[in-house]
Amino acid sequence: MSSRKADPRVAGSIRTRLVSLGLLIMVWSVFAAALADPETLPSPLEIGRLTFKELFAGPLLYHLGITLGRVVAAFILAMAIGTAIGLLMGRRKSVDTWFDPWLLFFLNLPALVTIVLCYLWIGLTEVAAITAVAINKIPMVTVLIREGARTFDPALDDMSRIFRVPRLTRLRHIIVPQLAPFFAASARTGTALIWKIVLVVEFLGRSNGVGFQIHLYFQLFDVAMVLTYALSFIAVMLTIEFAVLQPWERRASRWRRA
Amino acid sequence: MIGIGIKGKSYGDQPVLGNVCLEIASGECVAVLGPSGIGKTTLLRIAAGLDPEFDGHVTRPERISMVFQEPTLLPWRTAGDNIRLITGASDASVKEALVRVGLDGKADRLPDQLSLGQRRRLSLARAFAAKPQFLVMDEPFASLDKSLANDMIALTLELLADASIATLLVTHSEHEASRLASSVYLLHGQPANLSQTRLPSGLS
Repeated sequence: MSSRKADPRVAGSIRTRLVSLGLLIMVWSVFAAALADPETLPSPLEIGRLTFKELFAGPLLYHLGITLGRVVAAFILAMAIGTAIGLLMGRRKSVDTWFDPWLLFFLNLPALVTIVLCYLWIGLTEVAAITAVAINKIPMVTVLIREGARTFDPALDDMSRIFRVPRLTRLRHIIVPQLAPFFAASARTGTALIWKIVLVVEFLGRSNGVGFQIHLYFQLFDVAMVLTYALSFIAVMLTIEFAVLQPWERRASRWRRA
Repeated sequence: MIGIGIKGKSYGDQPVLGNVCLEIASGECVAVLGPSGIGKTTLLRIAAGLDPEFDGHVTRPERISMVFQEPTLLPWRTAGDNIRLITGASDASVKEALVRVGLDGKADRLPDQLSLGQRRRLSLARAFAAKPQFLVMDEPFASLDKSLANDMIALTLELLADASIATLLVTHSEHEASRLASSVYLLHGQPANLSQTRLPSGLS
């Protein structure tokens, strides 16, 4: 039976994390006060005020939404393709031998090169932007899922073959649960990586989104606005991490704590 | 009728099985005895259709079940789901299967919440819930203490008595073979061959 009472260790961990975050803001405040130059390093209070203003009277929400949409699209694309290729490579030695050099090539391809080439080949379009981000992320998903597929329990494979478990049931109840920790790891590292690349993609070739706004305020040497947009999106991604990814990961691995 | 006609099986240059021929009729339980590493599991994998790389032929029916050395359950699914998802049995059949092996009321437990003996029973329940024509048992009572192994043998005998299943039991225990099987074969030699054997009468 699960208990809804808060685990004191979890509560303690959250407290420590909040204190640590508070300390970071304090250090920032001290530096900002010591520097006494808001144009170089504005105080956290000033950034808070600007965020509030941009959120309710400016276009912050619009740009956050656009960037988030790109992050989600690239994430789904990269996870789907990376999982399929990773599964194939992890399960079939011949496929792994053939495609391992490709994987190494794409893992070492700088994100900037992919972005520039996609814009040059496809044009300054939404498709190019999302494709560039996905291409950067697919190899990492592939590597993690391949590792997951290599750790599959061969006895469960034998069992499902003997009992002629239907393909879909096998995928859903035998393969996916074994893959879940690797899927969760690639999803978490994926979101962290993808949103950073999305900002570069927007910086270089889009006319909206957080990356575009950062580009705009960079040209105006407006450090406060650059920080406002960057920190707002960090807040969005942390919310997704704590509200979506971590609870999902806990749910997927609940059976381990039985 | 199950027909196993193996002319040879090798792993690379290493021959493991020689001429191994065996027939098992419906309702019959045949045991194959032999020391560790002789090729019992190889024979069993070929018989079950898990290893197609051999010289010879095997005639086997459509519906096959297996009781593995380890319970081989899905740790992330409940006891009931372990039967329902794998065998496609209805909820009523799952409940009945669990009752028959003494796991009534444990359908919602995860395998890790069951004792080893209960997990073995669940594995047995799953094998019979699939309503097999051919049942393959790979040292199913290994690592159990004597009393638990005896309970499991009695339960298996009970379940086999109610069904007309051709059963191939692979074990290194003469005691298990004599209790469960009507014919006992010995796997011996290099590469291994099969010869029928009579167990000491005291064992049966």
